[in-house]
Amino acid sequence: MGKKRAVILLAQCMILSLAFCGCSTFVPLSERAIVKGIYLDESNGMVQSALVVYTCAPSANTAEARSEARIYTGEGATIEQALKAAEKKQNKKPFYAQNRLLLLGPHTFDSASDYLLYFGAEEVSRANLSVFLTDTTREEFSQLEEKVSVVVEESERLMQKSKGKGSKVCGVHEIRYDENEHFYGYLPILQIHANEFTGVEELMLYDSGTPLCTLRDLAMQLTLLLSGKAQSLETTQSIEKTQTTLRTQQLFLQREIDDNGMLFIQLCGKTESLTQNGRALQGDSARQALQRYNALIDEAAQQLIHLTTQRGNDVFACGWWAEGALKEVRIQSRIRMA
Amino acid sequence: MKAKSLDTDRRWPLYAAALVCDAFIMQFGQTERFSAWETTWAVLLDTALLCGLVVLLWSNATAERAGRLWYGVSGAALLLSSACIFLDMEQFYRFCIDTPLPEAITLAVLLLVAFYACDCGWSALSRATGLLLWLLAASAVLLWIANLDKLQVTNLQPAEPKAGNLLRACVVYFRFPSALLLFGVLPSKQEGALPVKKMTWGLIGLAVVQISGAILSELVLGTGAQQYSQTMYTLARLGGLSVFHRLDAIHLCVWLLAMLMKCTILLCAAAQALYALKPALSAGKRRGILFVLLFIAIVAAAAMHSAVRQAAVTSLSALAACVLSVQGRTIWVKKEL
Repeated sequence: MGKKRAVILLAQCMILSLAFCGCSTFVPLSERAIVKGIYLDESNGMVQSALVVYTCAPSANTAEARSEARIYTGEGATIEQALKAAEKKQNKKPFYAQNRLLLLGPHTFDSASDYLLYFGAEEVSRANLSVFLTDTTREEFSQLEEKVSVVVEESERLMQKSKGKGSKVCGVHEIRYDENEHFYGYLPILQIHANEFTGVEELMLYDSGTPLCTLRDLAMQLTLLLSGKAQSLETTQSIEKTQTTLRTQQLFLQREIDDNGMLFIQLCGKTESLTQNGRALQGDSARQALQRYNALIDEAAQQLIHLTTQRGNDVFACGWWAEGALKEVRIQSRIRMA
Repeated sequence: MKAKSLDTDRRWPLYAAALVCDAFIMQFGQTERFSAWETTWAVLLDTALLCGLVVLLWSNATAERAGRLWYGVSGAALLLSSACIFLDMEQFYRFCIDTPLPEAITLAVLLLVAFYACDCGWSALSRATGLLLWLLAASAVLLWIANLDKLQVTNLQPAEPKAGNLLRACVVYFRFPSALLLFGVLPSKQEGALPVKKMTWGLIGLAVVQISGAILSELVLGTGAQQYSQTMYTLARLGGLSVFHRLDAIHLCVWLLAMLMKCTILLCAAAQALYALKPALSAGKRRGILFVLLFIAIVAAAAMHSAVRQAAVTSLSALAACVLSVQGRTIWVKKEL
């Protein structure tokens, strides 16, 4: 008897909790504007917005049911007003819970902290919203309507791919601020063009909310590696006027701190392949090329440290490893032949 | 409430559920936030203090034939605590749902379930709670697994012992859980002293849940964890397993169900106290009185600021504990003599 009552009680709780899912004041799917991307830029002191909205047309034939992406633009004095203006361009109720993409246009680079703070708020967006900078202006973006679904899908693919290894994505929950609420760290730059989608090939480095420089190729990969978002390197450099490609296996960061506050980071691991003009290198030539590569990585890493930790911009959390007693950081690449 | 006696094994899930069921939900209106390190130490110190209090007050005390004062004060504490959970639950539900039901309807549905549960009796409630505790444990494990790829050890704030901060954290996190009063109110088959050991184990379990939640939040969100009003819910929204990204819906279902169960248990315990006070009343009249009292408690709790509300529950529960200590020890000594 007791068991039966327990089951009835639990079932009743569950059935009644269904009523809490919003079924009573529901909005049908066909009346929902599913936002899959937000674009924001600035012009003449006004915030310009563009919403990538997927509309669902109900159909009895499931084979015919399809959704199409539309771009609605708006403008306002604040981010909220700009978004509201874009929402009003269509008559459905916007639904932001599916949105995982925030694009910041070229005129927002200097004031990215304001946008990140706004979207970092708990009630505004989900914490897994990914932020990208883009050189594409609002006008150019709004003309991409036919191809915007590709941009959304490819960005989402980047987010999926980013799980664990080789992430070039920055979620709002990963954004860190200094005591003045200025963002420090880096943001990926998404290349969006009318003809092709090249993904992320650059990162923008920030210090106290100000863009410092863009990081490409080896510097970008080292940034991802040192911040724990990548675990291997794949780069092509010109060594003795020949294009040489290095691909490593999983790399490990060994950190040591001495009594003088010097943090010594070693990049340890083995090569997966080392090729010159598509031809695999072997023997002494491979060893020499790898030696040059290690020297190149050392140089690039040191420059990176000069741009970040030595300026007090602790992007790689070196201070954490040094327990606050950090004076200097040295990085050495010790990649060996497999 | 049917006054059918329960053995200790049946009382244990009820007590455990009443302790941990709302551990995943942070109290709204609590503006002060602390690092994982401060939270850990504050929770450990508070738990040690609570365990000490429980041992000090209730070792060699019994709730058998406890007086009207005990049932009166503990009933009031349990009723107010239940009303607070009702309000917290409704607020959390509105916080999470895009298009929530109106406040009054939500509360009416919750009250309906709670009163039905009261009618089912302790035995059914204990079995349902046993199942729910497994669901809660699964939810906690899932929360960790779904966020494994986001853990960054460098997010953990350095341990900087500042006595002022730690003291403030201890004050903010200190609660005298009304769940501790359950063993004194629930009808028991075994006669004897209050199971002080079990009570302290429950408190230790609650501390483990709170500490692991604080550490997970900081490992994933870093200093940002202190900006969120509902950190665990943020983690639930952030985490994902393979292609499943909306696990927060599952967590939400379990957590709301758990909160509902907690306020039901406390309400049933309050009904039990009322029964002990006025055994001659008919079941219908008792239900009516309980409903009116709960309504008053909800209105009173809604008028209070969340910190005041929490302080009122803690004070009433502590007062009830003191009353039981005095009465229970006297009865125990008389019995031993």
